[in-house]
Amino acid sequence: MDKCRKIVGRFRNWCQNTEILGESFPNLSVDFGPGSIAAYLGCEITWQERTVWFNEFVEDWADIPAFEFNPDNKWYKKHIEVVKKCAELARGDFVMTIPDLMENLDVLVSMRGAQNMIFDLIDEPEIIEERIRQVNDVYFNYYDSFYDIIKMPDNSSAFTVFSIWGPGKTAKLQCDFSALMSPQQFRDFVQDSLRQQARKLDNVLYHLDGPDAIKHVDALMEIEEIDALQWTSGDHGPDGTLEDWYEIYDKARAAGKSLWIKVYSGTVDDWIANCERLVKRYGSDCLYFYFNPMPMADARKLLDYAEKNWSNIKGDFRV
Amino acid sequence: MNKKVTILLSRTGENHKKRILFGLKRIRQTLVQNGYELYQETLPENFAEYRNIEGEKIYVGIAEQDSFIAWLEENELLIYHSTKPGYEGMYLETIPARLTLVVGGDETGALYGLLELIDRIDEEGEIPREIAYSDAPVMKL
Repeated sequence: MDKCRKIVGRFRNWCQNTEILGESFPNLSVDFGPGSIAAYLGCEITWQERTVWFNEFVEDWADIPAFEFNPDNKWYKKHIEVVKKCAELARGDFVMTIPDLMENLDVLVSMRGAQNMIFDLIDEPEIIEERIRQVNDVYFNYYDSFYDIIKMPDNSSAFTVFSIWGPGKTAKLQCDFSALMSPQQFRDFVQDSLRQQARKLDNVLYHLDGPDAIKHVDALMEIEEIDALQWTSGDHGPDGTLEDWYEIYDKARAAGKSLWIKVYSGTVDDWIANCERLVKRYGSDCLYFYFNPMPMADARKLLDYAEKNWSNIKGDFRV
Repeated sequence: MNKKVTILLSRTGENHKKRILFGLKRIRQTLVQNGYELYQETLPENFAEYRNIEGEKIYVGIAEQDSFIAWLEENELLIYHSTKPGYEGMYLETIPARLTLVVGGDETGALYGLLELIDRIDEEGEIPREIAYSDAPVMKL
């Protein structure tokens, strides 16, 4: 467990040398990569310096027993042990987060491969529907076991990605594989699964990843239990303030969802101008702006402007 | 005047494959969206009588597995202007009596062929009047 001391020690050092400003909060992510449920259910993990791969292993779904919560799986045991130890070492000085467990087809794709899954949706739709149900069933066994370790004294919790926190159970949900699905397939296979999952959570952010996922916005916004939308324009794409994204944001606001927006294009003056535009359009109550670490002079300028200009603003956007 | 098209199905179930049926479901939606009135018929026992089915027709089959495709090849009604479709490949051709053929090298190729035809119908607003087109994946992932 020396590695846990290193992880926590390094994070303490980062906290001691970083001003945590605005609504951000120090949170330690102890993650085994995106979609670790796939590893708990049988994937081997290939570790690389900056990423991980979950190795597909399903040749035929008929050979794989129904998914069950397996507390003896070697990756799960290791993961929960590391999270427990880090939480002890953190001593409540900063927030620990729920790992990026992931759900529905994204878990199955790690096990089966994306190309195989495309055909599985056509060849064996009933089997895939059943497998998605099984992933949903075990999700909360895993989620709750981590939640019990990392929850704050008031039972609030934070999730490993997007720096999100909220009272009760908090999670980011997604279906990156949806980029390869038709709108009807998304409704048939994924929509209800997300709805069922979101019903058991208190705070839900949906991560919409990439241009090919935009076609599912209407189906997603029908899920009442999703509280907020986070849109990623693609690898190294423009940030979340681009006017082209209004079509997505308008649909989210029309459905009463909040918006999580990452701001990084341009300089601090561009960030202020772009956020100002969004605040004027959507109002200040439904927006969360996320900024990467920046020089203190930029942070002061930004916060000063935000405090003076972005409080209690009602936006112009109307449904 | 309504546009009419008949989807032809194999009498022996040779083209009743999951990926083909999926593609047919998609092309039916596309045809309706583009103003077609849809009909479905089983191929006549005597293949030559396909000509007697009125109006435009679409048939999907797999090369080397489908007896109607084989009959069309034998009778030189279906002539591949490039290579015969192989692994995941497809060939689309308009043949006499207003029949648009989608020939797959296998089930997946037939699906790709249907998706290609769907794109063309969406682009042109109608089934291409004259088509002879082949394609296949450059590499297997």
